[in-house]
Amino acid sequence: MAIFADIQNGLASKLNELNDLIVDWENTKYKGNEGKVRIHPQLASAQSTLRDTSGTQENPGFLQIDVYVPLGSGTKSLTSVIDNIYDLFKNQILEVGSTKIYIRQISRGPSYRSDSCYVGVVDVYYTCYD
Amino acid sequence: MAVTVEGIMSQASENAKFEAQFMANAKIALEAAENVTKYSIAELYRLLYDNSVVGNPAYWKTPPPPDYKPGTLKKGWRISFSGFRDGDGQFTSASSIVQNHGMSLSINGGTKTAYIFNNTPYLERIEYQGWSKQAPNGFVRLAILRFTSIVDGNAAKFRTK
Repeated sequence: MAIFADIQNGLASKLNELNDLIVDWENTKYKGNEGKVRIHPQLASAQSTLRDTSGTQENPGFLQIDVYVPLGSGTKSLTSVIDNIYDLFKNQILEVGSTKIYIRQISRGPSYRSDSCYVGVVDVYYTCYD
Repeated sequence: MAVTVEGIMSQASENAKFEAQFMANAKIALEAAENVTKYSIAELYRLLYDNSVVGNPAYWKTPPPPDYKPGTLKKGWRISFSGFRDGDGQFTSASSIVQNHGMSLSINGGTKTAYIFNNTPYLERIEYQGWSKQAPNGFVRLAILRFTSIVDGNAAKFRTK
């Protein structure tokens, strides 16, 4: 069982359901996306722990999704994308083969302004048992 | 069934014994719960302190100022059981910490609330914007994710028999 690959694939597949959004995936070079509404996901896995004596492991973590909106386009478009991400993941159990990824919480992080964009952060917290 | 004075006295004595036993057990359980809360919060605080990144000029593009001393972020963690208090003991608030781009959390442990916070103004950038090569995904949220297992571990440790 490739638990961590399954987690990554499950979350990425779900995010791909946002068809009309440009996704800047990690470790992939993109050109021409500047100045467009786009998202950038980053996966962070927390330390796994043993849950019981039968050897069940709990693997928690979160997917940080940065939402980039060009300056001057208004914060409504930023909020709209964040809402779409929220609705996409809320109360979901993602399945990749026999692996189940439980979405625990979706929270909005701080927003900030970069050179050409307004950036909002959404964290999707998950837990996966193995 | 005949009701006798001796019978009533005996029953009262049994009730008193039961009450004393119950109160003793309740005290042990409450102490155990308090220990679980106390040790778990302390462990989370230590985790945040230990995992705080310390500036390493070897990673920097520009040299550090001559009087640069690393460790500001690590030393910036505070814990209090009486609200958010800054270094001078004056009260501040969660919103003022957020405005300063620091981070705060409050943990309600039943009888007490613990306030853990760090007012260092670049913590938010390290946590959310990937400003540290040592912790590109931050470290605060990852520490908080471990809190449930920390509580479980301490609950097992202090479980009453």
